[in-house]
Amino acid sequence: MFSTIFFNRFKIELRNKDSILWSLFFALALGTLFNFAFKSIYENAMNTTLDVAVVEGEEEFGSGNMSDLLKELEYEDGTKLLNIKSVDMDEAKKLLDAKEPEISGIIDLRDISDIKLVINESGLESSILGSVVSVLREYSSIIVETIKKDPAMIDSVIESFGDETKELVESNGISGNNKDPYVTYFYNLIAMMAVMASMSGVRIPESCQANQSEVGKRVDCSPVNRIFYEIAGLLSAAIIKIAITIIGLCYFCFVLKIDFGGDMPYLFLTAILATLLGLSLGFFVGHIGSFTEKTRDNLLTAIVVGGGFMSGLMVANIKSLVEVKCPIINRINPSAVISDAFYALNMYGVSERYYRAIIYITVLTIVFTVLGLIMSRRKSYASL
Amino acid sequence: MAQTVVEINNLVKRYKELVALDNFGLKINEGEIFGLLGPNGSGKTTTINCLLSLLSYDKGEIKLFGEKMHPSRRDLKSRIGVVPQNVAVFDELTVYENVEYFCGLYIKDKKLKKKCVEEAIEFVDIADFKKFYPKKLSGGLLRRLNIACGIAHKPELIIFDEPTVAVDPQSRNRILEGIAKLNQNGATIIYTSHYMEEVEQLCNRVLIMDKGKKVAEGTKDELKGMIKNTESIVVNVRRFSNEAVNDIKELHHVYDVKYLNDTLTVKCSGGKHNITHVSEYFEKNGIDYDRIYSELPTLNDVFLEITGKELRDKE
Repeated sequence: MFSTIFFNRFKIELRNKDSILWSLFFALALGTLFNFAFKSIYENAMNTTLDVAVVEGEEEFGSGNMSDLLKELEYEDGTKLLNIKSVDMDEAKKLLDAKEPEISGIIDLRDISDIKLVINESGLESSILGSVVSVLREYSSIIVETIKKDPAMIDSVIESFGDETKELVESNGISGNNKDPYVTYFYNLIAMMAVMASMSGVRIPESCQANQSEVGKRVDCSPVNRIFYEIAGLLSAAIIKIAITIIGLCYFCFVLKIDFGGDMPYLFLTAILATLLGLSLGFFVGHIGSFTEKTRDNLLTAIVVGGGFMSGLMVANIKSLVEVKCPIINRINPSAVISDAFYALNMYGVSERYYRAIIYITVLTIVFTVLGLIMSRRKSYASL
Repeated sequence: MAQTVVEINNLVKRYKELVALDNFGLKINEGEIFGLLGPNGSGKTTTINCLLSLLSYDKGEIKLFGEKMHPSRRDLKSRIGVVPQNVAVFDELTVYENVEYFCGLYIKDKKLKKKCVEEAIEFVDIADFKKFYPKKLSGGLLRRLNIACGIAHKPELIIFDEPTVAVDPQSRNRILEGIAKLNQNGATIIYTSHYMEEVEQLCNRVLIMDKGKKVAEGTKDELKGMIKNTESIVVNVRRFSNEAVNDIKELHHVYDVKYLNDTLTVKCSGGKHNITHVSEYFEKNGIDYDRIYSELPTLNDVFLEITGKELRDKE
């Protein structure tokens, strides 16, 4: 009986054109569009030299060497990454605040233990400068440590930075494989595919509950155990949705050749777990109340779109705002949890933060599934 | 003595203030085609839903095959087949796959399942459409698929909830013939409808319900015997005076006379030669008429007389 339900639910899911269209082809089309639109913009911005003002300090070590390091940065084709104007802070601000700014930002090296970046607007250039400054901060902390522990070693340490400057451009994704912000769109797209799995999840209880559909009435009249039925349905939907996510990811990686960084197995793992979370969300929503199919779809759409908005998929700062005002929403909002996992993987690699996000995904998936199953226990309805 | 397949006692179902079933009861014996008749909103579908444990109820008792029915009685559920009022199939599965799927919820054995599915498809005569998806089927074929999905596992009790709604006359006849055949093959049938002609044609015993209550129950003849009207004489006559109407009223066994739109309707209670008496009156008084005929009461007359309203909504 399990195999009958499983294979037929599999067929139903596979032949559901709307579901396949929205969760796979729409995502692929959107990814292709992103690739054409953003990649060319990004590549145009690439390999162009950025004008930047550097304000140096008067320390014996540090800022001068840092400034030299910046001058050495270049793209693979030898183009200089930065065109540095060494000025004082007042002059730098004038350049930045001019009607047509002559510089993209100011790197303040007056205190190398607290290197600052001043920019007027966010964008690709400021993002590149941000990456540069974050590496400079790492170097500066090494210099400060070396001064404290073994000042004699400082020259060789600074010399070693010189050897590493070319690697700095590549290893930090500045040389054409920048993960941020271009790849972020694809992370969001994968998150969208995952959350779209909820549309399949909601159909499972609908097909076996008498108060939700005519087919549900028929299944409810049969001797089949409803929980058994739903688990079979969940399994078949999970296989299809995971396959869709993997196809989407493979398309992005191998056809569009999007470089998601070096943690591919974890990227796939995150996407699969995120898909299961999306599915379980739909499954849970499918058990709430006794709404019509249309009302339930609208409710789910509201949860998915609202959740997406709250997680910053549409307006980037919302998630931070929610984190300050009501952090619990970020813990239980599937979109927020999924985007956080991708963000952690993107920014910090396989780190503690990433594992924490994965644990949240897993726990939420289990909670939604178990709650759905509890609500699904065989019962008679007060009205049909 | 035939086994009691369904027994409902003092069933009460309320939807807030509305009493949908008011101390309702019935008994259905093995091998019967039991007609549950009533106008829209009379409580037929509520009764069926309670019977299937889909709906909870406030009071009363339901027994199937002599055992108390409740939602977890899978053993009892496996002996029932349901053909719901609305077509309940998956659009993504073909005709064959749909029947196989619903049959598979009852039968585990693959060989037996295959045999049952093929027999059900053959039975409702949709073998030519096995590979069709439901969206490609006509209304009549869809209804037949709906039936095949409900009967494939060869249930002992089959519930048909208004299976001929919005079906063309040809398909309706096929469906009714099929139901009669299922009964001949041993299934007990519950047939709900507000089409009295179907119930009259098909059912051995009929229960008429209205406002959640049993209004009358019995065989067709028993029900017809419950009412005053035993025969209606209809005469197509162009001119008929009030005086003549009063004369007709005076005839033996006549209890009601109406003359409307050149049609005289004479209702009689008892008596064997009512039509002769009426035609003799016309001849004696030299009144010409076009046609005279006698009609026996229908279930609609039964319902009309008992409840004072039409059984079927005016269409």
